[in-house]
Amino acid sequence: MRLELTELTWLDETAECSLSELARRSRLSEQDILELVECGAIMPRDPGAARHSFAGRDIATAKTAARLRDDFEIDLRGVALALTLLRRIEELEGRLGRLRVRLPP
Amino acid sequence: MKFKDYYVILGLERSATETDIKKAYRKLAHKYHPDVSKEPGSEARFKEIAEAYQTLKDAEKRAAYDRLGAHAPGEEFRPPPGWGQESRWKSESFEGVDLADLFAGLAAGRAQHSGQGANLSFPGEDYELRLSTTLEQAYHGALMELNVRMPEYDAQGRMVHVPRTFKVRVPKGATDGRRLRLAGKGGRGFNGGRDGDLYLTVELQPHRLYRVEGHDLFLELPLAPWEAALGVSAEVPTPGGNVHLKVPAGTGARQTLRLSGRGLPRPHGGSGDLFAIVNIVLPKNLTDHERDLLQQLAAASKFAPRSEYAAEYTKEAPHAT
Repeated sequence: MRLELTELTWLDETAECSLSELARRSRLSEQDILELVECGAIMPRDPGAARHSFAGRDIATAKTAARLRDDFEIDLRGVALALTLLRRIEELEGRLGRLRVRLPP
Repeated sequence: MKFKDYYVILGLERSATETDIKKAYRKLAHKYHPDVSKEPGSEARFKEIAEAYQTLKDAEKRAAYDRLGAHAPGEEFRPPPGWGQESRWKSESFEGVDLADLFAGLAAGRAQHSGQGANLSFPGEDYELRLSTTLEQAYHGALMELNVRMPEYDAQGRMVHVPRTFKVRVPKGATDGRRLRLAGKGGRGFNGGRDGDLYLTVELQPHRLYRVEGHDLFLELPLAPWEAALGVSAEVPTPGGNVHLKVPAGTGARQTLRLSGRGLPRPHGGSGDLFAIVNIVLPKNLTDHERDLLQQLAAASKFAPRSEYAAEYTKEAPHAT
């Protein structure tokens, strides 16, 4: 069987995503996302704008938020706290990784 | 289909109460949830735990599960005749059906019976996958085939698992932790619902020579003491081919030499750098001639490598107690 070639798209800071798209893809409500923005767990690209837009990588964050809410049965403030701590762990792991590559194997 | 013992998965007796089930699930979720756990294999383990909990926490589903009887985990079995009258599964083929699909079908069947199901449409499931790439694939880009067992709805709106294969072009710069999307390639939607997406998270395999940080590469550069002292043009590997690196005279251990733009390509243009970290190494066995020359050097040299200690020597040593 011949397979059709599918192009992959990057899900990073260059891709743009509207509030409604973010809600649809993460299966959170727009209200939930705005609450996560208020808590600082998701950062819009343009915090001052009347209509928020997000980066592609926020889709992954919002999907994680939905999973944490459903799988741990916690409310959004708990989710926001978990996301903030997960981001902090990611930063520290990044810093550790940057140090580790400079050390002898 | 293969039997899964949901009670064993949650570490429970068949007589467990609702509270026991919830408690066991919470404890296991904290340990194995893939967003918070770093344990190897946690993703697959959590999938089982969540599946067991979804069924056992719902009294109706739990009763239906109990009616399947007890079997050994992994044993091939079929639901008894007449099982799950309300579900979308009647007595026909169970091909491609997982135990989890059976209970999802039960919920869908309930919705239909209550009159909500007639024109119901569902969006397709998103599917997440880890994509393991080699450093060479991240450098050059690569064509890869992905094989997945995709959860999707059949013509009757029942969830089944369908094997699907995709051929994808993994772009240059697909390094650890980068995320990619195949739009519309997740599970198909039902009754006009949109198709799901396939999300990929890249996992870069460790390389024999290079250590990777973002798009930068780090490479050990072993030098003989005389190469470090006198300088040398060293041939070093880079993912794009060997290059000559000019090591200046008087290069010390752990000094880092940068080869600009010789790292991994970045997704939207440009490349990381390659850093060669100097390591001064000695031959395991010196020849008599080498030893002789080094002894001559030791005798002739006025170099005092530990001169910085000098200030400490003048201080009185603390008394041992």
